[in-house]
Amino acid sequence: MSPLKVGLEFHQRLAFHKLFCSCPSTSPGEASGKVLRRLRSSASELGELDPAALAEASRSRLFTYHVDDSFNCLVELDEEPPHLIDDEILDAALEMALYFNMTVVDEARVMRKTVIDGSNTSGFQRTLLVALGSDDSIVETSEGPVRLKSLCLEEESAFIVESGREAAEYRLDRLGIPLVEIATEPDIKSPSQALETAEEVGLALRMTGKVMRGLGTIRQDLNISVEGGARQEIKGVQNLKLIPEIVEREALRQNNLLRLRDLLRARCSPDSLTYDPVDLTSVFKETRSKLILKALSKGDVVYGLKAPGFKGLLGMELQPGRRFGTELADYARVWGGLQGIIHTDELPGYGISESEVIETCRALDLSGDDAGVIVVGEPARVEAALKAVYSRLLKAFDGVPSETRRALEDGNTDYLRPLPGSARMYPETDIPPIPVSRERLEKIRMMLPKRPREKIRELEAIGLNSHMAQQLVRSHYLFVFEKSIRASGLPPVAIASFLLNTLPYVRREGGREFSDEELITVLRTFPSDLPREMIQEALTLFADKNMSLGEVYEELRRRRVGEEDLRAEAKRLVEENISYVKEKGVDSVKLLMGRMMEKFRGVAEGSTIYRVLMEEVKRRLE
Amino acid sequence: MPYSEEVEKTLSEKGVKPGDRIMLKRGKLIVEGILLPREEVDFGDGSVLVIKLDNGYNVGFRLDGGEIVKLEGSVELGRFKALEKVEQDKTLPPVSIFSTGGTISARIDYYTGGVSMLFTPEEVFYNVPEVLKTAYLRRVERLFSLASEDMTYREWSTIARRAAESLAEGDAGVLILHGTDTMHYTSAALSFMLRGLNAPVVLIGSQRSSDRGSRDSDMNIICGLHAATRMNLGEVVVCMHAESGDTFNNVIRGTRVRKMHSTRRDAFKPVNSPPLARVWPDGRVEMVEKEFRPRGTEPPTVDDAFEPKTALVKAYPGSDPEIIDFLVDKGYRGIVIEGTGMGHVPTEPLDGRLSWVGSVRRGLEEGVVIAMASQCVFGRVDPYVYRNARIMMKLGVVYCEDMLSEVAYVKLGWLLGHGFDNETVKKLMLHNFAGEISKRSLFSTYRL
Repeated sequence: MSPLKVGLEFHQRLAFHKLFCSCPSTSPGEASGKVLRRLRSSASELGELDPAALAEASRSRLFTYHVDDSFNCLVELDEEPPHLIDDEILDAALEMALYFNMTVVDEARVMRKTVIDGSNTSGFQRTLLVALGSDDSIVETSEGPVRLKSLCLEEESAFIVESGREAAEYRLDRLGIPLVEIATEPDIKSPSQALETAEEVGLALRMTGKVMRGLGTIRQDLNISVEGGARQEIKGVQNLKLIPEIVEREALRQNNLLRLRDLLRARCSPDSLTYDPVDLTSVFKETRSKLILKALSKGDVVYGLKAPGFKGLLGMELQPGRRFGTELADYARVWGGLQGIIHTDELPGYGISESEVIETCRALDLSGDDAGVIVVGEPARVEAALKAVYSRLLKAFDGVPSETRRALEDGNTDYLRPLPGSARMYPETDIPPIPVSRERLEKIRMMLPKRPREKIRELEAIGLNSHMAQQLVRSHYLFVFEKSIRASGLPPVAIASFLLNTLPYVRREGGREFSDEELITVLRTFPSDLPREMIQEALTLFADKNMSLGEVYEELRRRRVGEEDLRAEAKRLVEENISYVKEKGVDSVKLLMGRMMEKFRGVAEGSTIYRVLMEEVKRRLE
Repeated sequence: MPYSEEVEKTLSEKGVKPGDRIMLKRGKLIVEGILLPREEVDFGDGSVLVIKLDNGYNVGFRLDGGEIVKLEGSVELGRFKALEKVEQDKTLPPVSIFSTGGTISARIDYYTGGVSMLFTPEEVFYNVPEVLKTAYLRRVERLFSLASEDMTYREWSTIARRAAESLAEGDAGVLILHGTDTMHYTSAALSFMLRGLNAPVVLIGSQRSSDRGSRDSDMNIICGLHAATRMNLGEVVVCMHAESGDTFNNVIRGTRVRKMHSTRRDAFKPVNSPPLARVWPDGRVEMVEKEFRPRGTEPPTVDDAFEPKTALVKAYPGSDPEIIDFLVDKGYRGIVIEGTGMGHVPTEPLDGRLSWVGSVRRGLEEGVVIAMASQCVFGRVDPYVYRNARIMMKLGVVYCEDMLSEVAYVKLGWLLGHGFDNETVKKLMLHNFAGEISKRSLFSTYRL
């Protein structure tokens, strides 16, 4: 395989209210209203319209926005100019930039990045470049340093509820949440290094304690190219663990496309490929193919395009389960809104008869190494799809086209749109330039968070073992931990153990997520006379039942089971199983402890239960 | 704020000007991109260089002892690409479009973010290709490039004259592109100045800048053209978004419309009246109001007299009537007071100096016409319910029924411009010229 070049764009949501208004960033409330909009392209001002924007404009879709006063205001609805950015949000971005040794701009300028897929009500995403990297701004990985290129502060896009060719629906709760985008230089050389880089960047950002946690709060875009290939922007990788697979499969795809190019060039020149669509509708007049029959009954048409020299290549596998034909189908889907294409490498199939295949080949004038692409649909869509397929076939002679692609769950990618040009960025005229003074940076620099290694040492010093300390630093709970231990009666180890062991267990069992605020409040105030096993119950009461802290602890004291009750139950259990106890001796405690826990989990301290039970067993055995 | 003297000096030494491609080397920082000019009115720092990076971002870096290197590849800033000419279908209804300024006529320079006024037919066609199937744009003309608030009665007069000429030349309707802030003043003025209208004169504007995909201007242009070409109407109207969504537009009588929100697309609402009609982008028109002036065969005449010494004044708690004295002293001929509630001003405050009675009496005695409208916006003034209104009425103040205060101001200025005696002006203030007054206050028309 050819050498690999990967750059990473790491997106992390920040734990503040929205970037350009004061709406909350967390609000799962139901939407109460809908607003219908259309977005339009601006051909005249740009002169050259951005190709990515054109792709969307040619579709002219209707967008429905789900709105509610609890999570959006007129700013997200594009009915009011953006408000100024709060100092503390910009400070968080500056802190991250300084942490990575980047050079902060002296004056930040908010830009509008044209996006007309409906994910931004305005038709653009607001973003500002906060800092640039230099040779000193690096992320260390076991496979070498990776340089950072830039750090931007931008607004999150709207959450897509439903998307179709003609229409799409979005919720406005997510639109406007602040996020930082950190881009690396294409210094990453392997799939595993890509993962490690992402993990290290994420860890560093968490050290600031100013990031959101939970599903969807981080997202990676990957820029991948192999030697001789071309840069691909792969969007929306939410699961870090998928990064190596995506990198590997993309490298495979590009190498296969290069191989395909060489095979193709050996057969013919690009001149032999022309855009001459042929109407095949009459060929399928009597067809038994259900797919075509159904289409024809709606008045759809069947068209074909000759792909000279492509025989066998359309069926060539590029990634596991994806063929070159699949790439053509992507183009037909994106540009023509069709389900897909049929090509001669996969015929006979789809219920198309032998004679129809022969007739098709004749109509398309196929011979030797030629293949054909067939599309079915409304005339206008068929034309758009075939033109797109033609353009993709043509690009095959050059090798790998630069594209924006979407990460799929299996690690493959599919085509989303062409790579955007820089024409899509222009100044946000509603927000004045933001000066960043030296004094401001110095103040932030004094308060920079500790490096992970330093932090681990610090945690060990207050009694955590090294495994726990490392786990905590890598978790999302370091900030909660530090805030909690400052005022809590609980020992640090108990808090760490709760955050690292109990919480994930609760989550696995389908329990609810608690906010940082809820966790900190309860951990700080949990009384020393209650068993620690009751922390989880305290949280549940506090968060779900809307009880005051005083009420929560009073309730727990009522529920707590005292030593006398424990002893009574232990005695009963021992008597009930007396033959077993006599047979196993002290070992019988193991089984009986399970029975005790079933009854007293969460209402009495485990160590107390064990002690009482052991005492009773021993007493009976004496 | 332009670049500081120091920066300018460095730039000229290096022979660098905005638009040039440069490299800034400062310590470990190396930045490459196009040098941009600083905005004219800028809150930033003139010693900071603004550079457009290749990834599209603009960034500001101080020179700070760094070095500027001029590179190959400068660009020309502030130039708009000329658009290719477009063939029109001349069998479609002919329409003239006049642009007067405002957001809808503004164009952004994508490099600098600077805004300039530009308007050509081709721009309309490229941005709103639907126009080519809706109307034959016989004329697209930029009358002025004025922000809404810079308009005066002189511009109202120019617009009225050009619209009348166009209709005389056979246009099916006229479209006027206007800033939104004072569009309802202009629509009222045109309603009075264009007498005997034979076709719709439609004002439209834009609440969102035209650079963005979400702009409302395109739909307003499309719906405005439908209104201008398809409606059987001989009136001046405003045609703007009816809802926040891009669903349909309201066509509202020029004397019954007011901007009710500073930023929303559906800012324009009918006041004390239903909209005349609703228009959809696909060309559907649904009449709502039954009483309207239909199209005619004779082109309109222009009656554009106006008395500039006319003022609009607001009464409020603690308001000092000196403002009336000041206007009278300055030779004002007409004053519309935007009174509270049904048309009230302070008449018996504890501090007697703040009573408006004396100043209003003096004004009337000195020959100023004083009219009363309500600052409630919705509803009708009534001089008989409360004592303080009765006093005003008795002094000779004209109570303007359910007329909008802005419309009353325009109407008073227009009437005074004709040189009528004061009694005639007072009488005509209550004559319904262009649907600005109605006898009935309908239950359904108070909707926000």
